[in-house]
Amino acid sequence: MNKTININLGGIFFHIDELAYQKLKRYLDAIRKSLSDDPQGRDEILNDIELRIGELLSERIVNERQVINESDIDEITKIMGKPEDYLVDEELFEDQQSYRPTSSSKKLFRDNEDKFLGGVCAGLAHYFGIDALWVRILWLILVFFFGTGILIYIILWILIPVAETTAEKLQMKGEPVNISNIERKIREEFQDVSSRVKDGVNSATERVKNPEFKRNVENRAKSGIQEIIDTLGKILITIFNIFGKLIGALLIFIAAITLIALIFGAFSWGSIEMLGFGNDYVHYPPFFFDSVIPTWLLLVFTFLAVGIPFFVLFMLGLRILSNNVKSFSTTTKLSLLGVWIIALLGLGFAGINFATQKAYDGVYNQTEDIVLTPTDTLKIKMVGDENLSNRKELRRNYGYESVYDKDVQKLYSTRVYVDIKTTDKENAFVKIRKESEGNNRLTANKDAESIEYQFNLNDKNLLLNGYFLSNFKNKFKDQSVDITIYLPVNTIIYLDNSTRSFLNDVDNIQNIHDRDMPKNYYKMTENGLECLNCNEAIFGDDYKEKNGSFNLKLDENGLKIKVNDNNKNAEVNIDETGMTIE
Amino acid sequence: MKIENTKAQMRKGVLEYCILSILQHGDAYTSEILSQLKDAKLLVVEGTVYPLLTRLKNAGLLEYRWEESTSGPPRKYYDLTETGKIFLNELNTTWSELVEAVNLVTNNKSTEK
Repeated sequence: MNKTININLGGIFFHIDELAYQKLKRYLDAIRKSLSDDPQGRDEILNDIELRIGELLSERIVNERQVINESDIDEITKIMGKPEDYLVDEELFEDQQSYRPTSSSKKLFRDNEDKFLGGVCAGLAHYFGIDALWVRILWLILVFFFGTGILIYIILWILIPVAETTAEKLQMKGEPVNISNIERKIREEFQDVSSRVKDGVNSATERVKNPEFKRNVENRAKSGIQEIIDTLGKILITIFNIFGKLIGALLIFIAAITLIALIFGAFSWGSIEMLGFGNDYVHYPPFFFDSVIPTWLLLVFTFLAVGIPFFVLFMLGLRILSNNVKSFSTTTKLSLLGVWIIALLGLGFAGINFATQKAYDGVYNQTEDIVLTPTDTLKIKMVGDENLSNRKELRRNYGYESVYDKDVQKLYSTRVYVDIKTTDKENAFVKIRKESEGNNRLTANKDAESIEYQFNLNDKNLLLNGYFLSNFKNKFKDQSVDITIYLPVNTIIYLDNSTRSFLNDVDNIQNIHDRDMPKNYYKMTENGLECLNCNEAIFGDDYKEKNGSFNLKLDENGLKIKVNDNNKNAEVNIDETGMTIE
Repeated sequence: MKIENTKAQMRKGVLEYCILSILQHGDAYTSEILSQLKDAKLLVVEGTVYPLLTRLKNAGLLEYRWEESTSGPPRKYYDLTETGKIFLNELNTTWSELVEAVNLVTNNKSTEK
């Protein structure tokens, strides 16, 4: 059982069953599409075709109540021909442009006859109706000022088909593009999409509104719902197609930016290396140092490991946007994958290599006596070397510098820690502890030993280097130098201001913070240094509470005032029990 | 290269000339033109003719008028215009020249063999 529809073909009324109707509609739509190059003549041609179909159908119908079915439509399409048959070869009419000025629109092709590289510029020139020279000049400017010209050229090369047949070549050089033509083209495209969506919605609502449909809901619920779902599916697919294009464009955009950045990075790195600025300007990832794999190869690996996935994304985006772009061949796919995996393995190897270099801690200790006259005051100073580092201030930090010591590149670091301790021995001495990491204990120890560190005892001045030098390859081995100055009891020292940032947790009776210690005199006691001339303000809180001359404390326990002056003590306490005075 | 394509191309080329020739003896409506072409085996499917007719009409070679029909939809009667007649005359000479030339070439080839 089939529903019938009434249609009007060329002014004549026909009963047609639903399936036949849909078949006929599809057929006419297909013809409309294949004639879309000629929007004005199209309606007239379609009208003629409808008339002819009406004529053919009325010949077939003997009885007025007869319903047209699918086989009738099949017969008709056999007589009329496939939609492709309606295409008249453009060449037949190409010389008649003077009297059909609107029937051909220009298309963008690459011009293989007037090409420099891929014929993109010449094609664009035809399209915009200007001389190819101007397009090429514009392109050169783009290449020099933004660099993106190269990439855009490649994209266009891939996207734009080459003009092969005479028809295409003529189409390429067709009518000039003006605003109204562009507008017309856009409107057509838009109408095409919107009418497809509208058709889908209409047929869905038609089904729901139809009373017959409602009556037969119970019997036909399944197929009816299925058809609605199908229609909804079609709408979704149309919407999805539009979104797909957007996503494709986004993919191309992101991938293109990354690729441009990569290419520029590689370019600038290459020129910096070649001009010999070297390591002072280029900051490589840590594991590029002291690796078995040469630096340039690691850079190529990085380039490939990042570049290949984005290149693939780029091609994917292009394929979403245009069917012209062919997929890679299997060989290309496999070799891209292979190169990518090799690059990843190379980087992974370098990473493991780097990690194992830091696997063990190595230490090298050395001890040197310093001879002091007990009555002397020892001045402790940190010294730098202005010829090595270009930093103005000498202070401890975790950075590194590349310096040249007698034309040899070395690592310059200020990671020097200074501590001062008491000793039972009669003589003062300095213990230097050098630390480094390495891939086994032996190399770690050797690397530690190779650290160059010096100090001098000059008259009453102990001059400690505020830096050390090391092989530049040891940059990431966390090297440092710990200096401990051991002093017998009663030795008096003066800490120079230069020691401020190098002191590391120096024990002292008054609990003075490291950074407050310099510029003062200290005497070594059994419990550590004791400041001789310090301002009380810098004393630690713990010490002040116990020994300060005046102490005021207000907290949840109450108020406590303590005065301490030459062994005479006074204390006032106010708490929940009341006030006590001692 | 498909033989079918070349055949279709050849037919399409002369189709225009034939449509004009059919109309030189007086006006005809679309179905008449179609049936004459079909009888001459120049046409496999009808679809090809409609765009051709429209374009010839737009080119000013043909004109048409509507006529009511008792058995079906109204009919479009085509007729040659003055330019169409001149055009057809030119095509006539071109055609005979072409036939002669083709005969000459094809016969030459067969005698060489």
